[in-house]
Amino acid sequence: MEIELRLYGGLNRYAPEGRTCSARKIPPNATVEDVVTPLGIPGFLYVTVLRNGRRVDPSTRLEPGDTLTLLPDMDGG
Amino acid sequence: MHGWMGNILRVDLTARTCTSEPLDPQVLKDYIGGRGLGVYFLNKEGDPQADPLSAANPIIMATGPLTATGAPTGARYMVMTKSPLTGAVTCSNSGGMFPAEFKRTGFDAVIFTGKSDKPVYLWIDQGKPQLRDAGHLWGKDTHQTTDLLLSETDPQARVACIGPAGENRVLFASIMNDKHRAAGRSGVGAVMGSKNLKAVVVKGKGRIPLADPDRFKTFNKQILDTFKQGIKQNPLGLTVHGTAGVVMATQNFGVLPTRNWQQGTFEGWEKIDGRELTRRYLKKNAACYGCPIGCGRLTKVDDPGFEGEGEGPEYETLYAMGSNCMIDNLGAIIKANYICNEMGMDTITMGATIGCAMELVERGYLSEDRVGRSLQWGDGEALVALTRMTATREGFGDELAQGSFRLAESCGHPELAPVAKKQEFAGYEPRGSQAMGLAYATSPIGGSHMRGDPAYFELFGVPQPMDPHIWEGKARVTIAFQDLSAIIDSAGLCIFFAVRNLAAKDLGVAPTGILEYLNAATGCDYTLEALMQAGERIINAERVFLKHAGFSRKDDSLPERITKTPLPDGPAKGLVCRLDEMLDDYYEIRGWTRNGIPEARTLLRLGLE
Repeated sequence: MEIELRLYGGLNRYAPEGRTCSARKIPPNATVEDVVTPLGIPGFLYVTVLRNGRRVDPSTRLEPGDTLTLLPDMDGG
Repeated sequence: MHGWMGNILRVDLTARTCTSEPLDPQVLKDYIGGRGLGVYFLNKEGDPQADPLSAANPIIMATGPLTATGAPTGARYMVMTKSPLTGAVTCSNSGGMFPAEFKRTGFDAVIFTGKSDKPVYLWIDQGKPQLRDAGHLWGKDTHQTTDLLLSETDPQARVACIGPAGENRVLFASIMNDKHRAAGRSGVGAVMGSKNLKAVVVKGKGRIPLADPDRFKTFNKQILDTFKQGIKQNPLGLTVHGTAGVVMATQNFGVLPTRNWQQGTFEGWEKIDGRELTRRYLKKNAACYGCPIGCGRLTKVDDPGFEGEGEGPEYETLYAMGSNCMIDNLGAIIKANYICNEMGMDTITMGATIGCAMELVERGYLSEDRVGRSLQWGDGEALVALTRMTATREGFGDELAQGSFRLAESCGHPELAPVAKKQEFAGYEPRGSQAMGLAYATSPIGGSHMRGDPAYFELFGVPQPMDPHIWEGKARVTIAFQDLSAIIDSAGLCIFFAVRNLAAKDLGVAPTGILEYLNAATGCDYTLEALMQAGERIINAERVFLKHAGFSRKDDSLPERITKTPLPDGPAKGLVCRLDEMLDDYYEIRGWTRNGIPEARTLLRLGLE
């Protein structure tokens, strides 16, 4: 199945082929962590992971057409 | 006295007198300083029924016990008065260098009463105050005023002043200090203008006496070491892109206010976000006194028609003048921001009012004849032109100068104004961030995110994330953040540092780090409970002012667009803000009646009877 993967801010450097937004083919039943772990983002980096704009647990199953967004540490306003 | 200077300066503008008065140590301990001290004097000496632009409305500038001590971000001062925009109490705060210099003159605060019959400015030279003629400064913008004042006083002095907008009593005129920093909200600059008070110029000396300098220094080192270690691994978004980096967050959460609060996402967001600002316009970062973050942006625009140099924009400006007006021309937004800084106006209310006018035009409730020009979504040139006209009240600018509520009301559609208590919201859509809706509605100053900022726990995940779509449980956490913000604002600190680094890492956000700083600085031996109660006392003291000004539950409200019309797009599609349910919880936890009035036993417990 296919999902859209987006990495913003300093997380760009971990994006597949350096692309901020990309369509990713993933196995059926893949979870959020199945997609995020291979990106190799160091564990000490604070990352907000959104599935279709909402925070989710890493074990959440993905559905075809989902958008998975990774945001770096943010503050202010 | 330690931490505090122990004196307040009284300036009677009618009689042209300046007198120093000692502050009661118990009042200082109970109200901390800054915002707390301001509301204490406003309740004691102000008239909640007064016309905000009359001589009967005092205006207070107050620093906190940690201002100028070297505590990280101990750079803040508060301006307290009755707002001409809202009719409620306001507390508008700013950093930069002016507040620390002010405190080093030997005064914690200054209270201006009465009204001068001609323009004056206050010059405090190392503890010696005097009122001077400001006739030659009237009509000058904030940059010109600052340069002239530095040349006629002391080049090392610091200046807070109003621009033409304050003189013209634009209802959202700001007080600018150090040229680029703003006590921006609620029209504090118009109150100064109504008193013919153009500026305050300060030159201090010496250091702030601390009760236990060794304890202070040891704790300070520990806090800064931990902070520096943290940012080595996680570069702070605030340092890299300023608050402008937040566009990326609000867009992806679907809470970026767009098209006068009709949508939660903006197609052109990547053209106005922090990365674009850094790439195209950033010259260098700027930091306030004692700040290890440096979120200020010194920028330069060369885009034809929008050329200029200055500071900004902040996230709030990008929402108000950008997505909210469907403007993706970043150069135009920055130019309008510069004009606001130079003329002395709040960028949030300015942008939100123009966005509201754009919708009024689109729906046929406001004619372009009345505006005097075309006014369509996305028009950056209109934004710049109308911003300039507002400061001088030229043409349609005279109507914009009243803010969005009065404009929309005059067109027969007040429901289109994005306001709480007639003040425009900050840049977070409450349908997709429920606690932010509660914060806007219950903030004493009206639509503001800075009086308890739920974006921390709803969006940024600090100290822990809460689902922004859920309303249950939000009242208690919002109250904890509001009380914390009252303590931060009163101590003289900046919320951007204190929430992450000086509070407990749970949703109770107990001010553990601030407690240690305050005790080392003042020697007061606050307990954690006493300090938290001081935060609650300040919130309730503000509410007492509101009660006497005629405010109650009916004013803790949001437009029906937010509470009844489902958001049409983005991750929060289909949601409305469940304000009424949250308000019931909120009042009960606060010890207020269902009508939003503090109960007698609550006031008694806090020593406010």
